[in-house]
Amino acid sequence: MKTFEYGDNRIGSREVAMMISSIMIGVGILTLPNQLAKHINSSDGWISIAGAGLIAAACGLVICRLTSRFQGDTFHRYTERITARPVAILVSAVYGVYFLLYLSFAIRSIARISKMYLFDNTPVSFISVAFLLVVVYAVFGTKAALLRLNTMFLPIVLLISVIVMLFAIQLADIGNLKPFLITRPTELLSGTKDATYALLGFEILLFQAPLLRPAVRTEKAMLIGVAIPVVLYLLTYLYSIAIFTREGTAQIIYPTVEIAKEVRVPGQFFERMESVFFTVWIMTIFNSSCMAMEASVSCWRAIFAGLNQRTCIWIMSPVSFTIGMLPQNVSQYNKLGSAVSYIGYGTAAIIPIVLLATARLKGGSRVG
Amino acid sequence: MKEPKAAVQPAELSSSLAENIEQIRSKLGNAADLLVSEHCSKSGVKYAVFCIDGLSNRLIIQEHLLEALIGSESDKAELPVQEIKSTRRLDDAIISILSGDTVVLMEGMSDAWIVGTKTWNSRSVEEPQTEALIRGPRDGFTESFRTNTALIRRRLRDPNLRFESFQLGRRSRTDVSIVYVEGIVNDQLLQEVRRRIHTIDVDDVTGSGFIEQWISDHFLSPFPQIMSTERPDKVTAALMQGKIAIVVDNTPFQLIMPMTIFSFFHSPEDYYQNWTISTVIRVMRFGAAFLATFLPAFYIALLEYHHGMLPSQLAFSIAGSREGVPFPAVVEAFAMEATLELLREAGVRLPKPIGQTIGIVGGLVIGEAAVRAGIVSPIMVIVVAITAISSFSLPSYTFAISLRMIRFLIMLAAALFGLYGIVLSYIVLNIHIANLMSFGIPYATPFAPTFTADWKDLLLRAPFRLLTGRPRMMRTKDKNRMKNK
Repeated sequence: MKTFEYGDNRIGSREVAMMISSIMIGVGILTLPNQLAKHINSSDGWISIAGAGLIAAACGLVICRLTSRFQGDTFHRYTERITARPVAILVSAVYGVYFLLYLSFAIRSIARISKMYLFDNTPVSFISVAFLLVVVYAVFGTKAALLRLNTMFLPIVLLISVIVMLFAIQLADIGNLKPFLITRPTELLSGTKDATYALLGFEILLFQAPLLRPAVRTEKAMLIGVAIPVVLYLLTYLYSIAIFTREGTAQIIYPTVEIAKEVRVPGQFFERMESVFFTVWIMTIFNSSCMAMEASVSCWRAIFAGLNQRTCIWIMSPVSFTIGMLPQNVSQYNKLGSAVSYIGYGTAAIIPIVLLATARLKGGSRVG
Repeated sequence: MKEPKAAVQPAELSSSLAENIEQIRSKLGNAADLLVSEHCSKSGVKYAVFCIDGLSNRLIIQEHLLEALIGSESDKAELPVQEIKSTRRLDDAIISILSGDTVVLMEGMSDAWIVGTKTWNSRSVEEPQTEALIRGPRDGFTESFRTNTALIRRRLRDPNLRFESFQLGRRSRTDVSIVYVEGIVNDQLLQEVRRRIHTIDVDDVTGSGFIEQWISDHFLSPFPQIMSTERPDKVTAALMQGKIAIVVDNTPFQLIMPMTIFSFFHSPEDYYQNWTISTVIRVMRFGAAFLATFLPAFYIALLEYHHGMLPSQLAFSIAGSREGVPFPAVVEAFAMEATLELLREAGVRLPKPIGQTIGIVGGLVIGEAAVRAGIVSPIMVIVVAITAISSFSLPSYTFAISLRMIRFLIMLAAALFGLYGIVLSYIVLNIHIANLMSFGIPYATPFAPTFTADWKDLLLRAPFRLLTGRPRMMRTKDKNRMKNK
C-alpha cells in the first residue's frame, strides 16, 4: 500500500553528526594502535591522532562549504556545473570505485577478524557472503532508513566502548605512557598518515547533502561527527599503550579487541569479553559498509542515468565480493587496505578542495 | 471516495402500499424472521410495519409505535419515538430492516419512516480477557458497536470527539467508525486513514483483523503496525495523544493507529502506578522482549560455537548436564521450542479448566520426563521456560507472537553462524524496523528519527508533572496537555 510521507526523510544536524561518526568508526580503529606503535616511540601517537583529526576536520569543513554552496543539488550535478561533463563523470567514477573498494575491504576484514575471534572452521567466503547480503538488504531499503540505522547502532557501539574502557582502568599502567614527547616530527607525520586512514569516510556528506533540511548548520555537525571518533581513537590508543606497552602493542594485530579480552567484567557471565566486543563492533562496520555501498550506487547511477537502483546493487555486490576475496595472504590484504586509503586521500581531501577552489574562482551563482 | 455498490439494486419506493410490501418481501426471499404487520388508523389510513424478529426491540414497536399508528386521527401519524428518519429508496429501507430498525410505510406515500429500534442480546461489558490489569478499569469492549462507542464517549466528554461512521462490506454492511479528537489529530494523518479505509471494497468485512491487515503499510511484515485492543482506556489515551481509532462492529478488538514499536511495550497500568515502578517495569519488559527473541539462539551459539565464552564453572556444569543427551544443541532447542509453541496453542484451544491442566502436564510432566529420559538437558528446560515467561510478560499479544516467530529464524542463524549469525540477524531485524512505517510514521520513532522530547515517555515513564506535551512525533495541532506550560 502506498504510504504518505510526513516529510521526515530530510535530515537534521544530529543525523549528520551521527552519520559521519558511524562511517568513520569502522575497521581502521581495530588496528590503529598497532600501526602507530610500530614506528612511534612511547605514547606520542596521540599527537599523530590529534593532527589527523585536525586535518580531517579541515577537509570536513571544505566539504561543508561545498555542499552549502550548492544546497539541494546532487554532487554529480554541481561537479558538472563547476567543471565539465567528462570531468564530472570521471570524478563520480573515482568515488564509485573508491566506495566499492571500501566495501570490499570491509567485508574482507569482517571475515578475517571473525575467523580470528569467533570461529576457526567456517570459510572466509561464507562469512563475507552473509555480511554482504545483510548490507545489500539494507541498501535495498530507503535512504532515510539507512540513516536511521546509524542512530540505532552508534549508541550501542559507543556504550560498549565506554563500558570496556571503564573496566579497563584497573589494568592500565600510567607508567607505560612515559616518557612523553620523544618522537621525531617526521615519524609523527608518518603516524598521522596511518591515523588519517582510520578517519576517512566523512566525505559521505557529499552524497547525502540533498537530503539535508534547509537550515541545517552542517559545519557544527561535521565537527561533532569528526570529534567523536577522534576522542574514541585517542582513548583507545592511550589505553592500548598503557595496558600492553608500546612494544606489546606493536606485536598485537588487533589491540583494540585485545583490550576487551583483558577486561574482567564483574559477575563473570562472559568469560571472553572480546567476542562480545567484536560482535557489537560488527554493527559499526556494517554501518560504514552500507553507507559506502549506498554512496557508490548513487555515483554509478549519476553516471549511467538509466540505471535502476536494484540492478546496480545486483551488479555491484558480486564485484565487491570478488575484489574482497582477491587477496590471498596478509600482505595482499594490507595492499588492498592501503589502496583504499590512497584513493581516500584524493576523495576526502584533494577533490573537494579543488572543486571548491574552482567554484570560488569561477564565481558563478551560489545557489543553482 | 467511491460509494460501495449496494447488493440490492437501487430502486425507489412506490406509492402503493401493497406493491411495496410485495417488493420488500420478495427482496428478502420471504424470510421467516421478517415480521410484517398491516394496520389501519382511526382516520382510516393504512400502514405497514416491518422488522426482523430478534434484532428489534418488540416492546418499543408494540407499545409506542403501533399504538400511535392505530390511535392516530390525522392523515399522517405522529410517531412518539426519538430516532426517526425517512427515505425514498427501497434499498435503504431494506438495509435498515436488516440492521434491526423498524420501517413504517403508509398507503399513498412513497416515503418510508425508519424508526431506530436496534436491540439484540449481546454480551455485557466484562473484563478484557487478553489485557488484564491489576490496577485500572475492568470494563472492556464487547461485540456491540454502540456499546463500544459509548464506552469511549463515557471517558471523553469532549465535544470535539468525533465518530465518523459508515458501513463497509458490500454484503456484510458492517458498521465502522473512525474515532478522533478534532483539534488534536493531525489532518494529514486523518486524511490518510480515511483514504485507506475507503479503499476497502469487499463483500464481507470480518472483524477488525481484516481492516488492520488491509490498511497496514507493509502487509508482508510480521510486526503489527496497528494496535488492536479490548480496553477503552487504552483507546481514549491514544486519542488524547493524537492517534486515531477505528471501532468495528461484531468484535471486541478495536484498532489504534499509527503505532510505533515502543508503544507495544507500554501498558495502561504504567500510567496508573507510581512512575518509579512503571519505569522499572518498562525496562524489564524491554529485557523480556530481548530474552524472548534471542535467548534460545544464544544457547545454541554458546554451546555449538563459543564454549570458551562461558565462565569455566558454568561451562562444566552445562557440559555435565548435557552428558548423555544424544542430540546437538540445535536439535534440542528446536524440538523444545516447537513443543512449547504446541503446548501454548493447545492450551488456547481446550476448554478453560482443561487448558490449565494441559499447561501443568505439558510443562512439568513432559519436561521432567524428557530430562529423565535423557532427551534434553535441564539447562534447555530452563532456557525454554525463561523464553516462555518473557514472551508472556509483554503487554501486547500480537507483538509477542511476531517475536515468537522471529525467534525461530534467529535460532536458525545462530545454528549456522553462532554469535556472528545472531548479530547479523539483529542487524537484519533493525533494518526491517528502520524501513517499516505506520501511516507514514517510521516504526522506530521517537528513537530513530529522534524526538528527544518524547523520550520522557519511552523507556522511562516520567512523573506526570513533566509530561506536559503530547508526543511531538504525532505532530498534533494542540501540542500541550497542561496549562501554563
